[in-house]
Amino acid sequence: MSLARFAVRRVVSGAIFALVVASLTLLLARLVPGDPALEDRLQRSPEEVAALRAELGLDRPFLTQYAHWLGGLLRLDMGRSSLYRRPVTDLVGERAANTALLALAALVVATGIGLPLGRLAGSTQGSLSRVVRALSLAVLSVPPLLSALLLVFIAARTGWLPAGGITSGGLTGAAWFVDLLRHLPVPTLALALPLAATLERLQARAMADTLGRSFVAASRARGLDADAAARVHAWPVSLAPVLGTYGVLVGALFSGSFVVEIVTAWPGLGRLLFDALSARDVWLVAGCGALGAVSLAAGTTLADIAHAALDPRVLEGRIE
Amino acid sequence: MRRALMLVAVLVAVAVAGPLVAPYGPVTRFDDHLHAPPMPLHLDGRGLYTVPLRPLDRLEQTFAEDPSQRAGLPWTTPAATPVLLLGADRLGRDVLSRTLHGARASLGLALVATAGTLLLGALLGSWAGLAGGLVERLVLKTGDVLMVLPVLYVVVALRAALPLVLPLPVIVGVLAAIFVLLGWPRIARGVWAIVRAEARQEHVLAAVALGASRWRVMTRHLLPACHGYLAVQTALLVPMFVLAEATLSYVGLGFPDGVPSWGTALSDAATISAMTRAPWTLAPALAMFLVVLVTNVLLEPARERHTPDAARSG
Amino acid sequence: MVGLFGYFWWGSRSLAPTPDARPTVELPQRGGVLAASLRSEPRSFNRLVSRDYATQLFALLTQARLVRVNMATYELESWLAESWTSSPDGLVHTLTLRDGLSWSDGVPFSSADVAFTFAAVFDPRVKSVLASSLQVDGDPLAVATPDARTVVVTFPHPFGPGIRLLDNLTILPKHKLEAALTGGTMADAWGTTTAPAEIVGMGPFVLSQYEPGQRLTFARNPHYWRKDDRGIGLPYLDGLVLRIVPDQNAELLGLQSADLDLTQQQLRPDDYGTAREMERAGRLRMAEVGVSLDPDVFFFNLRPAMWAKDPRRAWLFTDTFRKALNHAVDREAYANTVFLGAAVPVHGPVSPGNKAWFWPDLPRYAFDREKSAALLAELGLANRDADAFLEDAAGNEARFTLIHYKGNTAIERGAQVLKESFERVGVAMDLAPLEPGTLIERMLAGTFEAIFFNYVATDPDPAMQRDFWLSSGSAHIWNISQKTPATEWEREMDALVNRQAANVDPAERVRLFRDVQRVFSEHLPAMYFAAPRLFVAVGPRVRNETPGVTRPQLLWSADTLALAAGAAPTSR
Repeated sequence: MSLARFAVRRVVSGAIFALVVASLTLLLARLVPGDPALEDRLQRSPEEVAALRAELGLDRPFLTQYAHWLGGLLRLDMGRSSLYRRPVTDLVGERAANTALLALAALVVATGIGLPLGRLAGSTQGSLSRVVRALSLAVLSVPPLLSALLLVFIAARTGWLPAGGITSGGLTGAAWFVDLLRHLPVPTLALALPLAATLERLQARAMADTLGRSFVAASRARGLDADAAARVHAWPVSLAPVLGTYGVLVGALFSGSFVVEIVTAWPGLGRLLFDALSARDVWLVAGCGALGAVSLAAGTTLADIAHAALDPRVLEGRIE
Repeated sequence: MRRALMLVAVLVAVAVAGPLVAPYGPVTRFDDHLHAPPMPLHLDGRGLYTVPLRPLDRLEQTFAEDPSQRAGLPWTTPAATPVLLLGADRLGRDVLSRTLHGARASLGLALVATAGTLLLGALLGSWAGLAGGLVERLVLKTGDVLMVLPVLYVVVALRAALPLVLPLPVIVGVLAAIFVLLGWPRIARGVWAIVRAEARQEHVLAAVALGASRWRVMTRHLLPACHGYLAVQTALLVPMFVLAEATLSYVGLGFPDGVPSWGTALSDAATISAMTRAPWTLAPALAMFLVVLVTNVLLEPARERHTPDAARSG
Repeated sequence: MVGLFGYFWWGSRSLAPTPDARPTVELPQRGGVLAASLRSEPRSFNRLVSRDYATQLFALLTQARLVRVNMATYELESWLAESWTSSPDGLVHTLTLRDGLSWSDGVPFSSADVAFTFAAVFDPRVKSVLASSLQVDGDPLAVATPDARTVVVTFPHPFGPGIRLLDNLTILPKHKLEAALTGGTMADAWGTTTAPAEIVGMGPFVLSQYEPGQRLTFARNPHYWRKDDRGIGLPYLDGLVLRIVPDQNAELLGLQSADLDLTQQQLRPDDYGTAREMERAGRLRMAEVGVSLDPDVFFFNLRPAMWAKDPRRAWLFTDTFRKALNHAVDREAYANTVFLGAAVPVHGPVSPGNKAWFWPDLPRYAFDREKSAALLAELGLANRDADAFLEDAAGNEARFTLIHYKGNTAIERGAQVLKESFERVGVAMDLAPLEPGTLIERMLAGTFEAIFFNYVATDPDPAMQRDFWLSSGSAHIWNISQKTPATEWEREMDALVNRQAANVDPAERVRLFRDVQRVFSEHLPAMYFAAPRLFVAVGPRVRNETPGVTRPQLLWSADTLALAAGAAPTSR
């Protein structure tokens, strides 16, 4: 199979997958009893409630709502949020950008810490390797929920960094950027540390495997010393299986950022979804679900294609 | 594999014994000790002892040691003098007791959910591997969708459809069912891969040729090939579900507030005021950390041979 | 690791005493931009069509009324109307508008704007949320404007509060909105996407920018009419920013980092300690604003249909059962545990915070477990098995389910304390915390056994809360919107409440309302345990605040708020 055909097949199945998940989220969102028109119901007359329901399109049969929603989706119109009184598309876009910023920062930090440490731990056998390994295991045991709580606690206790939020507001230009940078470390580290530990373990394992493989042994036989062999041959080869797991990591980033955003009040997609769920904001919930499904599908698809490009065995179907 | 089973046995023991060794009941409140700090243990010639606290300012929740008094360990001291080794939470309940009682709900749920996940995952996975064709694709694709479905929706939708007050076993059942529903695909995929490889082996082919029933082939020849994988997955699933419970309860969708579990305790502790002024209420986080750490240490070699998805456990 | 960290941290905590942050007496100065928090987005900028808190606050800041209720004293004050006279029967009120007023865009204000606003409120196409509050017994108030400075308001029936009612009515500019009203689009006018320049008002501030999800920015209204007693033009502040923050944790952090000067509402009891620490560090000041007007309320479902087929009906659906439970609660202990001592025990719906209407001699139910047990025994409840709870003769356990608000510490803690109090007399109560929306839904549908929540009344005057008192009312929480009173005592209460509302003699109204409270207390359709003393936190540079008990505790009087001279601008 050529890489192009593989890519096309991946993209198509990714799209179908996104559609199915998005539809399921809408269905589940509608299954939950209660709707936004009931909020503040005590102070509203039945006529007001009926009007609000009609405005939100909740008075129509489910299939009509679904068809309407799918049609809107094609035009990038996902309805209006009853909680924020704004188009869902705008809201979801803004928040997704925040989540993307957080996820990207976490991915960069995790890669920057995890891969070099893994390379180090995988290519040596000494006490250094054991220290890295022990550290990784400890960090791996602090999942995002706990790391976020711990970091927020430290931030709140010491006042070194803001414990929550994305910016303090009211700032522009350079001051705004500096402020953003001050808010980033807590959620980023909470998300990145377990990830970095995972990457370190993977990289160490892959490195050790590759070093044991014959062609490295062959290059060693040609007279290169062990270090050079590791640097020249083993590192890029060992990178392929690690990159292959980035697809899975996208999922980890998503579920991890959901928790981290709630704990650190980071205004991302996870926090939005949570607020939308609490307020029974049907269209916003569905919008978050749709965007989450699309990004997840896109992330895994891209990672698969990248994996295939790096490791031709994938195309031959020898590796799932 | 032996390590994995040992770990599970230890966790079961903690879930059973935790509440038995707790000094106080899970809902016993000490009205004068809201957010009281931990009372450190002292040692002198007469043995271990603690110094009781008295409230200084109720509104500010400040306390002072009462040096004229002396109390023993909580198990030996009359309940009129609370001895709070890990402090008290916002309702004046002993954090140590809550954490020990919480072990039963949190670990119990995780163990039940793990058992269900393994059973369903192994059955569907081996069925898919054996049957192939449409069944195989259906099982695997359904699994793919379920694996990414936000747990929250499923919980909210199911929870809202149920009666308001449910006995604890039912809540455990509901949450476990949800975890199983969302967890089986990952087991099924592993089992499927093993079964597919195994089914081509000669002794299996021979058994089929001799007319063994599909059920017999599965239980006698295929599942035994998976036991190493399943043992390791058991040990990985338990901490994952412990964290899932914590996350759900943290956002208010898991156990109801009154039930002592590690997740409900964390959600109580999640205000800036509680965290900065009463950090001891985060004790269940420590318990969870220990569970995950022990798992990771015991299973690290085995884990590396299997899936690289430890990071998904959040 | 987490736990150890905390352990050592806590152990090494010490606070250096810092000088008192309370300001010395200084006269308020003009200048500065104040930052306050807002926890929800406005649904509209049009007060006529939206009653959510953000819209109300927006109207308070940018618009004005004919008369104003002072939220610190609850006295009625002249506002756009400088004076008024009332006919002896209390039906006709003649108001004289201030001279020389103009809207924030410079257009002169006149009685035509008042007439326009009344027309808009009562126009059926507008579906105004204010329409029902400007009616007496279903008939609208009539308005006439004989000249540019005179407004004559005629009530259809006698009404005790009189023109206090007009405190609700935000006066809107005819020159900006007349086209929308005649064109039938008034209901959609002034949505949140409206250009700020289009929104003119007579309040102290004008909107300069709305960034959804971020903030509302206000600037001084250059045409504002009020001056302080030194002749300095109000408002003191140059501007005001309402930051939209997600929750109370973020508010507290905002105060701590000086990003906020004020929070949306009072502190949670569990934050008192944190706030005190911050106060000692000079980061904020705490001000006690008084006793809450709205104690948390506990009530049973009193719809006869709910219990018709219930085997527990014979005892659960009785006054005696409620009396027994009321005797079982130690209100002092309740106040100590739930509100950390910062609360006063209450025995009825009117808290001591409501100075005009509180009745100190209301009959009380003393904390008395023996009395409670005796009343329960009277109902045939006795412990017939091995557990701690009572059963009736048929073996039904004395057990019911309470639904209560989730995420509100005082309510959650209160529910726990009540559960334990009732357990001590052998009555079991299951707790089911619910999201507020879901709880209200159940309350309206009548699918609940008992509820514990908080209900915020809009006005301390009982005549303005007839929704709650009358059996036909939409907020008669234990049995909403009855066609005819379900019980004799509700019929009696209806009559008393209506007589009270229609009376224009203040002393007679107080006497009649005492009768209402007495009937209420005899039948206990709802129980009350403690009303919290409320505290607000303000940034150290805020000056000249006049706190009220109800929200917005400080921004209700935004024009007289000030900042310390020379204070650093908001944000680091």
